[in-house]
Amino acid sequence: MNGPVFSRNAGLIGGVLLVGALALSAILLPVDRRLPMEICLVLAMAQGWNLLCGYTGLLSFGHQAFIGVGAYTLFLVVNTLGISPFLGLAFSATVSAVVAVVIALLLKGSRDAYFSIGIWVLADCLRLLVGQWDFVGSSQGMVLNAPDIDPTTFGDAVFWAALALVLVTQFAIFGLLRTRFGLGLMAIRDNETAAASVGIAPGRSRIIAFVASAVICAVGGAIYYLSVLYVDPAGAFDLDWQIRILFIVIVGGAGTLEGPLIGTAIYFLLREFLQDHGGLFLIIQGAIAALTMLFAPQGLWGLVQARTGFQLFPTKWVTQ
Amino acid sequence: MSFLPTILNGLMVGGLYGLFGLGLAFAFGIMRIVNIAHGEFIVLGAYIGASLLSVTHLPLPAVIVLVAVITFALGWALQTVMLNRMIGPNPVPAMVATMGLSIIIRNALVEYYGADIRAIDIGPLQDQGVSIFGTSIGVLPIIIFLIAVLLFVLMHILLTRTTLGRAFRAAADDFEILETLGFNRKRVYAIAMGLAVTLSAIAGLLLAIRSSYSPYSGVERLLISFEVVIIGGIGSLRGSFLAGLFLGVVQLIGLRINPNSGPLFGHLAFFLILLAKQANLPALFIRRRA
Repeated sequence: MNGPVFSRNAGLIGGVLLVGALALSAILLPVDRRLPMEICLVLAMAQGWNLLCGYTGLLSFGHQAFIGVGAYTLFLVVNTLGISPFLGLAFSATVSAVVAVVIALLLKGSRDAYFSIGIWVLADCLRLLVGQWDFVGSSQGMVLNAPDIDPTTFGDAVFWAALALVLVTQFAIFGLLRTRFGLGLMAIRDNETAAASVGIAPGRSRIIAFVASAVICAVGGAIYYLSVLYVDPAGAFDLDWQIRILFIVIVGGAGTLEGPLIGTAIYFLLREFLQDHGGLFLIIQGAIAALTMLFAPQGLWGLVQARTGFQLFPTKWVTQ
Repeated sequence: MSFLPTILNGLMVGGLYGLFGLGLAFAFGIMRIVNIAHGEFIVLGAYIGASLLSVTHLPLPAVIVLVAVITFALGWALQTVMLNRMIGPNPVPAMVATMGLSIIIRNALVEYYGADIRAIDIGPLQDQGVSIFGTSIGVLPIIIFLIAVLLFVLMHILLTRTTLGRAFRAAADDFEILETLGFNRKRVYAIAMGLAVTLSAIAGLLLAIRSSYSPYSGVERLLISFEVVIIGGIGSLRGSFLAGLFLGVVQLIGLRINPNSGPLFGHLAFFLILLAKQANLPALFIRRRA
């Protein structure tokens, strides 16, 4: 008798192929790699946020805080220590992890809406504080001071960093979900009381997922602002980052690994299609989010999964 | 310079903050729905009021009543068309849906009215002042504060003296009992959301008369509402009112100290109170067994 194994390894191969094809087309096709870079970063952030929202049920409206913290940390260490920007990303990850732990302690007793809006208030505090901080240029923002950057290869280097981030994120979360910890997360997603009764610690799982999502968003934000060599508080701590991530995860399907892929595709198709109608694009975005909650609260991939049970990234156990 | 005028002005604006919080707490207490579009309804009240004032030239009290009727209908429709389908133990769908609605309203306002910061001009009343405790206070802020107090009193009477108010309080405790008594749960919810939106929209219109607003003001106003709810507690009219006054005073003193700080001082005061509420000191020393 074989023990329980993960189902549908053929599906896993499909997932690898899909992500490989996406990466390959991103590398081969465009001359201007800014859009593929942004797609990679936003997808990575969405997967990070999804780990928190989709699996532990904590709906954060304040992850723009980590994007800003990651970007500002990078600019600060590069400008003051003179290190390589790509080394600086490690600082972004570290500092954002510390900030996330502090926020987790601050909001320890806050659940549901209290958490959602509490972290939003915190993100707003950070935006206002950074906007008052003269050393980082207050509301004017700051320019990255890295003279050793080679402009001919810099664009490519940033793109590779973004691609690495999204691939590592996608497969790290996939791997994580197939471990004991990940199965615990999915158990919490499905029924927290039942999960707790069989010895899973929801509180600890939530904090780990929260810190992981914060670090991914921080590194994503740092790479994004590194690519434009300039950061300001109104942009880096902008609620629009959070809205983008939320839209992608919710419309694609929270609590699935495939959902954010679909959501990202929809988001960028819509944005490019409505390029000349910024206001209309945002209105349609809001309408799609609301309609999704009305008619397909599990998101588009949730619909597919409910009908077919198919997973590109299989995270279910089956007994053979 | 004395801080007395700042404190008095903070109290007056705080009455409106109390109403913001009351609207949010009302919907949350009764339906367990957090309306993320709350701030946008507050701003919408200002835009509808401003348009009515400039198009119809009606007197301000009539415009306030009209805004109340229109926004009640909007809240009622929001609950009937959308939110009544999302009632349940999971709060996420309603929050995301109202987040979507807030994006729609915000950007529709930008498209229609433009993104510039506006103020409502209601003529000579704006410049009149009276002297209280040796400092000059505008007549208009006092009138606005009195309207806020009046709305709190009316809400208190509604909740304690009328059948509808008892239905609201019963719905907050246990909707199943309410249904056995012959109330239609969804209708009670729709009326409650209508009232919640109305209160906030009127407060938003009044705030717009004494300060400025833009389509992007909604986010800040939602956060203020939320802070009022947390500081004052859900289900307490007096709590909302006092929390509103407190935040109003803190914010205006903060803006006196640092004119660029925006809502920062209000946020920080909120977190201090949140921490104080969380700091359950004995729990630090007694290890809880899992």
